[in-house]
Amino acid sequence: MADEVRFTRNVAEVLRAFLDDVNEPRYGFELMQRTRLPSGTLYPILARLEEAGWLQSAWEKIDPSQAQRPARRFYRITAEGAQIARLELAALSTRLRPPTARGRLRPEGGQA
Amino acid sequence: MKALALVVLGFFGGLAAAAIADLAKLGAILLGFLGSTVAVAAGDLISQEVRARLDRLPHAVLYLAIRRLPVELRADVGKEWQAELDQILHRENLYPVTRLIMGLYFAVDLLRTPASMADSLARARNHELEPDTRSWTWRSIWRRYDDLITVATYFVAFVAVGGALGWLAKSIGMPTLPIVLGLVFLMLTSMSLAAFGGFQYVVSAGKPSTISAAKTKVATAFTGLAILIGAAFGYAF
Repeated sequence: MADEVRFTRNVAEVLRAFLDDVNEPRYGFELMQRTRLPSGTLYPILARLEEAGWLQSAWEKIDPSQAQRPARRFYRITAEGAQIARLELAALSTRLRPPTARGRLRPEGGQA
Repeated sequence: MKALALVVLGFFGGLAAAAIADLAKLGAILLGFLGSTVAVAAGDLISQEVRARLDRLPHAVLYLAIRRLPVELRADVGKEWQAELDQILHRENLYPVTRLIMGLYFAVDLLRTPASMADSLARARNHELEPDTRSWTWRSIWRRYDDLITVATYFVAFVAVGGALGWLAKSIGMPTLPIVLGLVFLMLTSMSLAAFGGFQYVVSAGKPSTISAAKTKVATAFTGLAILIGAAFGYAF
């Protein structure tokens, strides 16, 4: 199932937010703020990651009348998700790394 | 408190002076005072009414977004989205209008969640969805052709806008106006879509992973084309 998730930039942003602290549960709106993704983009990604088993979700355990707000659903990255996310982010970082000296621009006729 | 006392004192002092000067003026002043009091009270009531209705607007939009989900998921996902919207609308460090805009943005954007999200959620959370192949219900049609329906809806909307522009041009007797307006709209939409990535929604119907720069360009051209077609029709008829 996990291989069905395409590692796009938005997916990377979401997983990056979870990797900041793998034990910290994250909420939808909090993730929107951290990733700057709109709700219509974020929730489908969360659904795909949850389906793939990279994320787990559960309801917040609060008493709504005491907290004076409804309980929220929180998401947590799984061990498998964290491992794959780290590998994928590292691979992405390698792909996006600036070129080495060999590929740099140099003056016309010049030598690197 | 002192200021209020001074205002009241000044008002009654003025009244007394006016009474001495002319009784008709006194009546006019009293009427003006009553009128302004009623106007202020009515304004306050209207403002409260508008505020209450505006506060409900994001919830109303969210309701529509939730209605797009399969019945089996509405309670679960709806509860989650309502809780997030509640948090947005009750943030203490933001002004009311900002909160309203953020709440609306949250709710409106959820209107474009793709049908595939429901399938993913159903599988992840062990919900049994009604099979698509059973009948040609609106839901099954939407789940199969959501991309196509979204693009078609935008196309029709843009043709309608173009048509209105063409009709307007005909009414004011400026034959070149539809073309000019169509091109201006094409340019404006291209610029705005390039700036905000809005047309990605049309192309991808909420699947950001499928977006490519080429598709975005094609979609932008498609918008302009739709407006020009609409403008031509509007002018012709």
